[in-house]
Amino acid sequence: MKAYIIRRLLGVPFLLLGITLVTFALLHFTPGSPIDQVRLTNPNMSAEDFKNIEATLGLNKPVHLQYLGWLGQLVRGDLGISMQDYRPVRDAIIQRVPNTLMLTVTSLVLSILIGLPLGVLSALKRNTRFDYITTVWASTVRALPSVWLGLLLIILFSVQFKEWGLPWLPTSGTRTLPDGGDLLDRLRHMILPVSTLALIEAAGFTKFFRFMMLEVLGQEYIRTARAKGLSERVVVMRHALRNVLLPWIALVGLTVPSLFGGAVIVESIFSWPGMGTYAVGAATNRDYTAVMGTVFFFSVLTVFSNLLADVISAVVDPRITLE
Amino acid sequence: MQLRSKVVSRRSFLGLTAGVAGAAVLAACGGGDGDSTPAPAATEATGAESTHETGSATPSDSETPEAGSGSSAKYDTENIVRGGHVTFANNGDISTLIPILSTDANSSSVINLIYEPLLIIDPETLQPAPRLAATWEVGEDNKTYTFTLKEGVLWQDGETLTAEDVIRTWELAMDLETGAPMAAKLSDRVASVEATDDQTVVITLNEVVAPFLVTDLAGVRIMPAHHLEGVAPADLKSSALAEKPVGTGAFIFEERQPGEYVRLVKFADHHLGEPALDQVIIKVGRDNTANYQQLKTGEIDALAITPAFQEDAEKQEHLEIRRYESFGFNFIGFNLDLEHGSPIFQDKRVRQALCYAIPRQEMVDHLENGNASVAVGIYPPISWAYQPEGIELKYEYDLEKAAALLEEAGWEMGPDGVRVKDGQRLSFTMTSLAGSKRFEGFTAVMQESWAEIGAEMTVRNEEFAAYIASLTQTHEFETFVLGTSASFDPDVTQWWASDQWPEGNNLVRYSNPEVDRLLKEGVSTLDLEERKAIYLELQNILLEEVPMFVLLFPQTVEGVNKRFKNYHPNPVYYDDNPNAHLWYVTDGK
Repeated sequence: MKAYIIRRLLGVPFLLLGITLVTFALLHFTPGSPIDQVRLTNPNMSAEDFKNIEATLGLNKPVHLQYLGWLGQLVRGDLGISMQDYRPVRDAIIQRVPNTLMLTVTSLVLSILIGLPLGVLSALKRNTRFDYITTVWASTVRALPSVWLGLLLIILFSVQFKEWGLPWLPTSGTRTLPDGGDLLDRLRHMILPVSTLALIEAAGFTKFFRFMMLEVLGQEYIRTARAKGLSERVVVMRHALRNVLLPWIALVGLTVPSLFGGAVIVESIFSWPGMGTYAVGAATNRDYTAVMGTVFFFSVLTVFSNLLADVISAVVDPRITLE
Repeated sequence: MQLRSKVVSRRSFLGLTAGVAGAAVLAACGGGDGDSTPAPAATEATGAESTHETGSATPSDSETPEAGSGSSAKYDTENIVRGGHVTFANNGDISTLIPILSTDANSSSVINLIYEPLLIIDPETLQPAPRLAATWEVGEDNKTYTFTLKEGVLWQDGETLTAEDVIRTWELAMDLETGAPMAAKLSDRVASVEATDDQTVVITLNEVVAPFLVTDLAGVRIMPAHHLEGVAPADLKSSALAEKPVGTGAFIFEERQPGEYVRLVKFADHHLGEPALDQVIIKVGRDNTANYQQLKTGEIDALAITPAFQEDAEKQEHLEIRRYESFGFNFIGFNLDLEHGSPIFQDKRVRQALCYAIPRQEMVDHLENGNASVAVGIYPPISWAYQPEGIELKYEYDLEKAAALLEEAGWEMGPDGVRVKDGQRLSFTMTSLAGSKRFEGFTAVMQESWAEIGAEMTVRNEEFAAYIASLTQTHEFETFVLGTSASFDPDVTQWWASDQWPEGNNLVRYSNPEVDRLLKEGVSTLDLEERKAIYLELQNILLEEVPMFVLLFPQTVEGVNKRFKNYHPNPVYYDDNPNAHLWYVTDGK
């Protein structure tokens, strides 16, 4: 396995080089440039001014030189300066990643705590009323757009609760301004965005675990276990559940990158200063350095979490060997 | 994406003067999510300065704060409650805190509370008014401006404002290496900026520029020279002032959480008097609907409201609804460049026919909830160049006239209901902004109405950056619909001069020597009445030829919490920032 990991690691730089090259090319072939917005929003600027800004951003150089310049910086550990707000892209990422993780990791944990037992119970009680209700709930909520669910929660728990004179929840940002910011205040601000994410994810996990559980319960080794006279509890907990969790570990491994950036819509609605809105803003504004920086960051994450998922699968499942 | 809400999702398209900036393109386009209203941008002003040879400041009284602009009667200085804070929400994050580098409304909304220019623009008269300069004079050559600084203005770090600060700021604003948005234009127009003593600055222009005070000077907010020592022009954007601004304005920068908020605290020694509020908070909001919910819960004190929420907002007891005319406008254009445009539009009768066949009053009534006015000419009703009585072609909705014009131009009705001439069908595309609800409405109405006169239009929706690129860079479009804000001065050289294609904003490659001449004359004439006459003649030519056609001027509707007083949003300073020191909240919280 060691050899396998080393081989995979040796390929990483080439993979990343390829990703950045393709991204850079795509960016520059996509219509639009960082100064387009400035152009139309400032009718008092002259044509020379547009050219001048282009020059100060280095956009007047040939594309391949721009790429090599960016690569050179990267090798020195510098992700460059955003063309939009003139701040280091690395600082922006460092500042925003913890905010996003606060949302996504909390909601992941919550959604597992809800989805795992619901899905497993639903499978065990297949075709009972509990199973029907759970399945309908999961299918419905899973299909809700997060923008809709988020706004619904805001209107109910903030606007309406306030109108009814009940304690209501804050709807934006990470803290109350200007005086809040203690732990309790921050937790209150997390309730609505985390609930939005967790509800939808929990519905997804419920369906996933129900399906996997049913599949495993139909396997011959389960019948064997039952035939040995093992109690149902042991059959479920020791034999079935462990086998359900195996593919799930790989799945979670693959979704690690999305924990860092996967909450764009929820971040937008709740004005949460996270990675998702940063990445989308960078793309919308054609902020080339910020796009390259975030793509690079996510590429590294993806490459390593895939490797990690493979390794973990091999460790927990003796049937898998890494060669 | 529209560009503060006070705009992007970006709220307004246009900016005004450089430093000040405009709201974003988005806004006027109806923004990213499409329905935002255009926000007036921040700082430019409309001109007419020629009528003022001299301005003078009202004496400041340290006991009673004075109004910074506008009729002071509107401002209640008797019942001010001290303390507390107000919260705004912008549609996007700020991009810079260096005033001369700002090109967007979000940045300017913060910067304008911290920094001040020599002259501001009075939103009521659209004339320059004193700020850091107590008085100014225009020399006999109409090219020399002498400004006398107000006495005893302090920087937020306690230093005194001097002519040196003005010199240093202008030096940087005109330096191409800073990347300042108007550096090329300013260095082209300004011959020299000199201090004759500590309190006096003389700015000499190369030639007469009528809108100079309004479009240029009012947008250059003065920065402290003592914080700019040794800062290379190219490094200005990431200099210490970019992280910790020091201005002369009513509020001091306290902290910023990128992507979340900016917090400002009062500057007790502000030259117009100690601000009533302790703090101003400007949050980054991204979703119009979510922002509106915060206005309802009181988490935000003032917000521009999209048409969808106006009815609901009027029912809210704690909200006061403010409507005001804006400099935003929505227009269409016909590409006259043969390489990308359609040959159909070379005949002006076709362009005229299409303009006659747009039911603009219906668009105002049904799409804009009545909060807009049909354009008569190219200038908004609040511009001093707006002269509806002199406009010859008003393009009132007239399908018969439209059909007759097409007949005259040789377009015969074809079997499928689309007119044909020499084998060519009267069929074309219109490039629009994907996701803009406002434009969805506009294009649907035009499409239907044009079909009635035998013209077939297909909408081509493009994502924001691609849309802007199609219009400004590649010029690959046949017709377009666009929203932006006009400059406060009626000079429209950027939009119509033949040398503004392909680099400027003459998006349709319109070229007319007569128009070029009038544009030059308009800029070099100081007399207001003469300028009005020039711009009337210009409008009549442009409406006869209609290469681009202004549809309507939307108004801005803003919801303001009733606890928030002395706040009068207006088309020049949409958040009324020149009077921020007078803002107060009745509950003092």
